Amino acid sequence: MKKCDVLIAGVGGQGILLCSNILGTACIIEGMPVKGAEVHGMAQRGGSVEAHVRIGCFYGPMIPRGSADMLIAAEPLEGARFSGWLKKGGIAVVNTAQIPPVGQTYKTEDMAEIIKESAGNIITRDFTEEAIKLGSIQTLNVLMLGAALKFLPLKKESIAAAIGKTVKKDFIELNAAALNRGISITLQ
Amino acid sequence: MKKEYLLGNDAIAYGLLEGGIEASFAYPGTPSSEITEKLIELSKTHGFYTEWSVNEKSAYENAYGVSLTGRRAAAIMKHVGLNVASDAFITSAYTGIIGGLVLVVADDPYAHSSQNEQDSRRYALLAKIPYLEPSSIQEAKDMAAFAFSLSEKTGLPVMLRSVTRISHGKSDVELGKLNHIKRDSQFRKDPSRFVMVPSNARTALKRLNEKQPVLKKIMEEMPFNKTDGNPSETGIVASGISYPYIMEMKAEENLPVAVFKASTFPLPENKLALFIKGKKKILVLEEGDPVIEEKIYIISKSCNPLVCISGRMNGIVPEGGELSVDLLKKILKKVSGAEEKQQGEPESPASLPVRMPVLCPGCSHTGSFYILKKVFGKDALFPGDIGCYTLGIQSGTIDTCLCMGGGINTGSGMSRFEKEREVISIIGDSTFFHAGITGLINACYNKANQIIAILDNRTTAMTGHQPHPGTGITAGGEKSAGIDIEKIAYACGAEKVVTIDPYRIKESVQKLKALKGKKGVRVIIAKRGCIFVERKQKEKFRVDAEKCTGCKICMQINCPAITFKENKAAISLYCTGCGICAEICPAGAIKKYEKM
Repeated sequence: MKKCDVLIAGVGGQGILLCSNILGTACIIEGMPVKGAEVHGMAQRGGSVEAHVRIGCFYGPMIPRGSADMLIAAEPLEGARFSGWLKKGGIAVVNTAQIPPVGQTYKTEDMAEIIKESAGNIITRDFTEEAIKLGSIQTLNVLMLGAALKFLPLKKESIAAAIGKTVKKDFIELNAAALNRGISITLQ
Repeated sequence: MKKEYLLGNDAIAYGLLEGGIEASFAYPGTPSSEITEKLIELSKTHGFYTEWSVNEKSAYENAYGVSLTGRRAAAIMKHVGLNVASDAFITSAYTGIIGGLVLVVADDPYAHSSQNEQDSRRYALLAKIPYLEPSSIQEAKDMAAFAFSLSEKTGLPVMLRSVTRISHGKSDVELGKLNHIKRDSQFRKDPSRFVMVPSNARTALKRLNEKQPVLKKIMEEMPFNKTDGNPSETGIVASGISYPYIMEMKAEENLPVAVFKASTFPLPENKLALFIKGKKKILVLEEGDPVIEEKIYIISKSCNPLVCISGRMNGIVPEGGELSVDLLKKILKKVSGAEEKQQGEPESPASLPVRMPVLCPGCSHTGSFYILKKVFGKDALFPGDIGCYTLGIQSGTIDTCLCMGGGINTGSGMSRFEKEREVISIIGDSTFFHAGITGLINACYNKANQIIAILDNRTTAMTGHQPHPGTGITAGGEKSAGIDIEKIAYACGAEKVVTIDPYRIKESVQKLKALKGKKGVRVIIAKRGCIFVERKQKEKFRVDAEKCTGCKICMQINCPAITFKENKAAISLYCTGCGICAEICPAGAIKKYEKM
């Protein structure tokens, strides 16, 4: 069985936890063991959020440092912050749209450079813009999941079915479109 | 069997349901809150009782009451909540219980979202009751279901001890059969057992002590405790979440070690003695205090007194914080005597901007803090409390944070000797109901000179917006008596109560000036719903760049929606339209979107 440790990082409100639940549910659909964890601070909004998803895992919820196969970062600073979890040569899917902490500035390119220190393959794009084009900033998480799918040991059908189980009814169609759009990004 | 991808806390809720729960009681607290959220959801289809209690003591005593009627009940809380419930908890072990009584307590090693890292297992030892400590989310569910029958078998409350990584971990979980028995039993009067007057308490203690050997025997046979039978001379005793960590390392690195999974208290002492017997080294891995480690020292004395024991007590395992696979790698190197490499692993890039937790855009506390500072000055003392508003630490309007309700009494104490500076105790609405009212009564009765500011955002915000007595809504969504804080304050003896809207800065500042420098207990109620409760789409605000003078006064409120670029303020799309910045802008440069 293929194992794949995925770390999803971003900022509160970006749908990080839902994204991890879609992945976890897709594993259940495929009959793969899966472990995971959600890590969020005290504030409701604006704090760092990280979710671990360990596809094919029988052990603990947390991915050890330097061993994640994939990093999905919905914000570049958070991508850089968690790049230490990625194994050498791992895959990074990074949103270039910033959500800077109050009173702080940084360059997206610098964040990408930090991620490249571990990543063997980095896909950067303004996924926020793509999400807005699709009609809702809320589709950001599923868009990125779509872009990452090529590198995951999961079938598209399972992800789509998992979206049907985890996303609110009114948003299933929109998210299905976001998944397809995400997939097409990495096919280009 | 049905499998689902579940949060640890959801799995515990399913476990309690499978175990035949008839009533659950809880006060929200990270990392335990989702258990009750899930139970509330499940209760709608399975018809058992759920409640957000006013505090953990109420929760535990309610669960005890249900148990005395012969039904299965659970009290659910975070570790520090057990301090509040401890009075009832410890004596409930003396009287024993009738229906299964499960205390679910979620510890927070590393204090991710707590004021301390205390280990609840110490409480189980203190009360002389059994605990179960899950090593996986599947086991958390299984143990929650099993705990009821263990409780009834022993006649004692049983503790299920979770930790952050179990409660907020996720896993594929196999769900089991429901054991939903509606019982029609009644409370049978038995004063010698249930009325803890001294003479009865002495007999009760004797009964409790007599149960201890029975408990030990039960745990000796408990399948949750097990060993892999590896003949290695190095043995590892692992409990809770440290067990999967060591098993992952063992598999990845082919570690030649024997592992004993110790998941209950009392420990299976005979089995552990057999395990320790042939070993040269024992490493104890547990999150929290060296609870098992201390027992290992005692057990080894008779079976293998020369064995070298490592853990938190000899500094091989750090004294505080949580464990991880990464940390275990370092610990095992130390145990095997290998020198630790100097360079170590690279830590997170150090120079990255920190993302501090902040109050949300439009948070009413932002306005409250600005108003209080404006009226009473930054030299005033602000003894604080526990809630989102503890983030007032960033604006200098929270000077202490000790425990639930602690800020009022701390303020009363300060005010006895701080004659020059005004003392303003800050407390939230849910915290006020939880543990603030007695402090208010004490302050009024004993004639303290202080202000108590109750930041009433109409919800228990920080733990996920649970209702409380002030909201007039119960856990199940039913209407109930909405308790009026203003009336309570007057009934407790407050000299004056002033209610303000923290969005209306100028008006509130005017209203509060009258309280300054006065004697007695004065109460401020800053009433405005949390943005997640109001959820009204308000018009966003915008900065008129031509009028903005770059004075940065709007930056003082630390709103995450306000940024400062090229000497001008700007408002991002995260604005929720509270208008606080527009009120304080001296240049009149901030306006509603439509007016631009």
